[in-house]
Amino acid sequence: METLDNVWEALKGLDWGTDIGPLAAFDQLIADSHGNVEATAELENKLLAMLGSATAAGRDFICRRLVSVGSARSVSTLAAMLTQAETSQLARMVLEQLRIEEATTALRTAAESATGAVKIGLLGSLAKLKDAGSVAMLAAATKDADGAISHAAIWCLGQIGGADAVAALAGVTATEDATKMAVADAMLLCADRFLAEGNNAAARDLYKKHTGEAQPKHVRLAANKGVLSTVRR
Amino acid sequence: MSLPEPNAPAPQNSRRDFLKQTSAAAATLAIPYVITSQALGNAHRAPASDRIVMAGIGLGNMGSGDQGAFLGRGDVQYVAVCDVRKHIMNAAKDRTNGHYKNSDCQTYADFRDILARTDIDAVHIATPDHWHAIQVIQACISGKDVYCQKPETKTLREGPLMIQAARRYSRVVSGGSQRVLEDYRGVVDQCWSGELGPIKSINVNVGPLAQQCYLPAESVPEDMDWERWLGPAPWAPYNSKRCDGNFGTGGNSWRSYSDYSGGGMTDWGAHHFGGATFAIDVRSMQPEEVLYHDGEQGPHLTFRYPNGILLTHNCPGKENMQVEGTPGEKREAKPVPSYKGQGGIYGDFIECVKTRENPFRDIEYAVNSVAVSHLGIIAYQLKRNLKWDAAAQQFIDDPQANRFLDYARREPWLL
Repeated sequence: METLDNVWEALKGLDWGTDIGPLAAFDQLIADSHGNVEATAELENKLLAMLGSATAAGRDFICRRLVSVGSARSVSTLAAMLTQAETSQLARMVLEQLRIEEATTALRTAAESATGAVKIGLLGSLAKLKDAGSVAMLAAATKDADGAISHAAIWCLGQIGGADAVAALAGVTATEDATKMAVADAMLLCADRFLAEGNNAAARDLYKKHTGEAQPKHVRLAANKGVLSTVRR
Repeated sequence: MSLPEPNAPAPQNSRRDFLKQTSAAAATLAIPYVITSQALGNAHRAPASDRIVMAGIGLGNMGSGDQGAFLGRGDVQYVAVCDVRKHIMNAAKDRTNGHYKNSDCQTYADFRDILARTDIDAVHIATPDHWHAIQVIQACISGKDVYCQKPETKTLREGPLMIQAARRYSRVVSGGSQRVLEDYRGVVDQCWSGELGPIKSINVNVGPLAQQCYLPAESVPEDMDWERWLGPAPWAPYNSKRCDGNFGTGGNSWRSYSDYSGGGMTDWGAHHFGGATFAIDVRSMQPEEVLYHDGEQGPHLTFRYPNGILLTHNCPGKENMQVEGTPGEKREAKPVPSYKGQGGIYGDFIECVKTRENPFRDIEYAVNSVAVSHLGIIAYQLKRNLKWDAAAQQFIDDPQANRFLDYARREPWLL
C-alpha cells in the first residue's frame, strides 16, 4: 500500500521531463481493476480529484488513464476543460470514448459556445459519435465567417449523414474548389450511408447529382459507381 | 474484410488530357508546335504525356528513400515536395532539381497545397504514422493515387476509413512494406507450394511496444514547424528525441512513442506480420480472437483467424516466421502473387497507377496486417484475451477495449 501511495505522490509531481517509470504501476492497477466496479470507481475518483491541481503533463497522464476507467462521474469535470485550447483535446479524448448521452451533451454544449480550432475539434468529436442532434448546429456552422469552421462543418455533416445533413449540405454556397470538393465528398458519404441502410432511391438521387461534367473526374467516377450500386441491389 | 474486385478503370488525369487536347488543337489549326526532346522522351524516359506526375509528403529517412526510387524512374515526373522541416524540404527540392537539371520542383509546408494541384497524379507519403490516415484520405478525396509508407495506420479505426476513401474514388493506394514479398520468400514459397500441408500456425517475434513520452521541453529549431509536425497528435513540447526520424524504438525517435507510432510492434510489425499473413494466406482477413498469455518467460499472444490458423507473437521457444504445417497431408499448390511492372514495390505501384489494378500491397492487405499489431497492443495493454468482430470493427462484449480503437485528434484536424 505504501508503494501505491508513492505512485500517487509521483503523479502529483509529474511534469515534462519527469521519469515516468514509477507511474507504470498505474497501468497494472487499471488492468487489475477490470470487472471490479468499486476498484475502477476508486481509481476514477482519485484521478479526478488530482486533475484540478495537475500540471499540463499531469493532466495529460490523468486523462489517458480516464480513457480506461472514466464514466459518467468524469463528465462534469472534463466538460469544464472543453472550451480551453490547452485542455480541450484531452477532455475530448475521454468524452469521445464514454459513449453515454451525458458526454455527448457536454460536447454539444461546449461546441455551441466555442470558437476557432477548439470549436472544430468539438464538432469533429460529435461527428465521430454520429450525433444527429448536432446537425442543426452544424448546418449553422457551414455559414460561419471562419472558413476553417465552415469547412469542418461540411465534413462533419458528411460523417453524420441522413436527410437533414443532406439538406444542410445542399444549402452550402460553394465558390472555391476546395469547398466544392468538400461538399461533394460529404454528399457521397451521405449517399453511401443511404445505400447501406437500404434507401436506394435517396442514394441514387444523391449520386446522380454528382455525375455531371462540373464535378472532377474522380468524383464523377465515384458517383457513377454509386448509381450502378443502387441498380445492382 | 474481404478484398473487393480490382478498381474500375479510372479516367486519365487532367494534365495528360490537357497535353493531348493541346496537341490535337495544334495539329488541327496547323500552329507551329515545338516539342522538346525532354517532352518526347527516349529509350530511358517516357514521353511527358505518359509520365506519372508525382510529389512527396514527408521527405525524411524513409521519404528520402522513396523519393530516390521514384526519381529514378523514367515514367515518373517528380514536381513537388512537402516537409515541415525546411532543411529537409530544401534538400529534397535540390535533389529533384539536380536530377532533372532544372529548377521546377516546388516546395510546400502544408500537404494540402500539394493535394490541391490538379496536375499531380500521385503522392508518396512518409510522414510519421499519426499523419498517415488523414493524408491518405485527403489525397484520395483530391483524386490522387498514393504510395504510403508502413505502418499505414496508427489506430484500428483508421484502416477502414482509408480503404473506403480509396475504393470510393477508385484510387490506387499501396502500402509501403517491400519486405512482405522480398524478405520471407523461403517461408512464403513453402507455404504456397503446399509442401507443408495445411498450415496450423506461424510465429512472429517483434517488438517493443511504444511508450508514452514525457521528455523535457527543448527550443524548437528555427526551421521546423512544430505545430504542424504534431498535427493531430496531442500537444507536447518539442524535444529532438520525440521527433527524430531514426529507425530506433528505444527512446530516441518518434517510433519509440505511442502518440506517433506503435513502436517496433507496428514498425517492424508491419513487415513481419505482413510477411506472416502473406505466407499463411490470411491477408484478406483479420483475427477473430487474441489470447493473452502471461508465463514465466513474459507475456505473449496468440491470434486466431476465422479459418482456424494461429498466428503467435513472441511465443517462447519459437523463431521468427517459424511455420507449423501438417506433415503427411497434402495442400494444393497456388501461384505466389507478386509485383506487377518493373522495379520492385515502387514499380508495382506505378504500373498499377497506369493500369488501375490493385497493387501487391493494396491498402486493404496493409490495413489487415497492421490491425494484427494494433489488436496485440491493446491486448498487451489490457493484459487479457479479446474477441474481435472484424466486420463491425468492434471488440465483442468489451466496452473498455473499444475505447482504444481510436483517439481524439488535436484540433483542427478531423478524422
